[in-house]
Amino acid sequence: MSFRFFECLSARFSIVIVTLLGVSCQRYWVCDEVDASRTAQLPTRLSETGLYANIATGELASGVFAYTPQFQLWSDGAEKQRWILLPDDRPIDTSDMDEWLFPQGTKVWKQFSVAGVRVETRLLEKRGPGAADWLSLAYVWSPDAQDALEAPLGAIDSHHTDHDVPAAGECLACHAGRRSFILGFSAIQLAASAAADELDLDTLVQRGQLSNPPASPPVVPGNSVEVAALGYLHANCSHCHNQTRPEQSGARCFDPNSDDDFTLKVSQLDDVLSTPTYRTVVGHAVKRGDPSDSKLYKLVNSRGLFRQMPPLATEKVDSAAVANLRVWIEGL
Amino acid sequence: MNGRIALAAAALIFAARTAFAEPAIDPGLTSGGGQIEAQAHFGVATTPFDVAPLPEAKGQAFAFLVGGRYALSAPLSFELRVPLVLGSVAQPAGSYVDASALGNPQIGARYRFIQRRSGEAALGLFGAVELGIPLASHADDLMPNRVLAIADGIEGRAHPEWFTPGVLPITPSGALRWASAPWSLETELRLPLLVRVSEANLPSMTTNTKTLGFAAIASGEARYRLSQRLSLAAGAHLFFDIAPSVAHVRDVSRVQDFERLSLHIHFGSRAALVIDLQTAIAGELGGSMVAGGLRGVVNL
Repeated sequence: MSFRFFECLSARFSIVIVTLLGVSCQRYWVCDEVDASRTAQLPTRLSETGLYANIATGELASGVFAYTPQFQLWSDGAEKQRWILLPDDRPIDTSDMDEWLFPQGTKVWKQFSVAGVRVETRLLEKRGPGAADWLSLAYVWSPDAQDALEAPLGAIDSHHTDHDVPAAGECLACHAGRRSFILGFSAIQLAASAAADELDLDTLVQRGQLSNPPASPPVVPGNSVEVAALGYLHANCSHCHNQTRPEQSGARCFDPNSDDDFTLKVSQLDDVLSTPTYRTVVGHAVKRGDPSDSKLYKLVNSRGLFRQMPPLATEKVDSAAVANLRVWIEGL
Repeated sequence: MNGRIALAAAALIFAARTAFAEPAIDPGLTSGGGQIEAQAHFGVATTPFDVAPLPEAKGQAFAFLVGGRYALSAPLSFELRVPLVLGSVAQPAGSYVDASALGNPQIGARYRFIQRRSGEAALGLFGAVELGIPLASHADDLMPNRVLAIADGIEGRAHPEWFTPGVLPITPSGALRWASAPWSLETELRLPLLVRVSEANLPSMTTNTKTLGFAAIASGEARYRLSQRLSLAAGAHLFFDIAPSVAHVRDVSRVQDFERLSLHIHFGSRAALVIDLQTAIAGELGGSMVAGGLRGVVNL
């Protein structure tokens, strides 16, 4: 009997207890499946989605632009590239600067590479005018990297890496937690100046692609540690832990239903104390000056079912973020 | 008599047997006697799943089995067992989807070849054959396939005939039972043969189904009667994956152990309730499976 046996047994018993409790209460980790007929509306090959003019050379299609959010979701160290296609004739509805509503026809791609191996490219496409009219699908690259094929069921340890490709339904677990649906393309996330060939907030304003352009790019308050902490929590936690989550008709799915709010809001950036994170989390899930007694720190710094945050799509601790959170909490 | 037959028939309609270490808790059915058996095991497991992008099925499930036996004569009885699974299947990124599935119902005949008594000791040798009806659930999203695999893991991979969709199972078995109060010992060898009748929605590009699958399961259980009402049992089995019904997509241990502790609560000679706790130490399920639950038997 190995140590692993006892370790796993302990973890598994916790699952048993939680699941038995789940018989009489909502189990937030259980999501509805995506209607297969919706996923089937998307192309079966990445080369047919409109990302590339020439997939063999990597030449992007006309109108497709790269972008990089200033605060990124931790994906176990995978390298990520992102692109967006916005319709020319309709701007993004930015009347709510924190919840951009994208026009029909918007497509967003995110590509994951692990140790230099291109593993998957995810697509979100808005097929209708409604805020929830998004389709989602991941495409797994063929071993010869000539194209990527749809993977509606996802994939475990794809390309002999530790990287798991989400099932189509799992995209909604995070993305459906915000009205904007797109999580990394917002005023806050694009406020930093981008590389010359990438989109940022200024470029979008200049191109007239925002219905209500901001007077100036929002600036996250605080010193470098505070900015990094607030940014990390915004990018990794706020898609679930926010107070403006869209109503759901089905079962709760990764809806924490708590008062915690990790969102960075454009209108609440006067100082760190006015951010939702300081107002709702510090003193509650974060004990001032004591990381080891802070629930948030312990969850971010551990992995295991029901014992980790974020709960999805990560099996490794983000050690750099944890180190920064530690310094941040010690300084509170 | 007709009433007993009707009750037994009803039991056969709704039903099956205890999961492990046949013959069941009380194999001594008299001619014309019936028995209703039910089982509910709940557990978590991560088990091999032979689809290339999804090489494992992980989650928690209730594995139900209902069944019944009817003794046509003292040595010959007929059985029907129906497995049903309710569970939550883990998705690759970590969310879960609830799923349910019907397993392959089994129709079987059991014959007692030898029954010897010597003072307080008794020895029985049994032979049985079961034919599965290939009704196990499967679907394009592979959810029923996966929840059945999880249930198979909860039962120590010992019943591929119950939980493999797309096959017609034929399972011969033999069991030897020795009892001398307060001890009883039981061993069994089962040899499920799985004849492929459909692809069960497994994607042909990433899955290699086989025409025939074959396994061997050797099991044993020792039971000690603590009192009039209570017995304690310890059992184990070894599963040998001789010819997988679907080619494995990664290295999978061909041998699987399984251990179970049981507390038997007897209600006279007519009924018994069994509380099980089961796990595996090594093999594919080692450290990733734990389950428990109840079995019950009522003699009609």
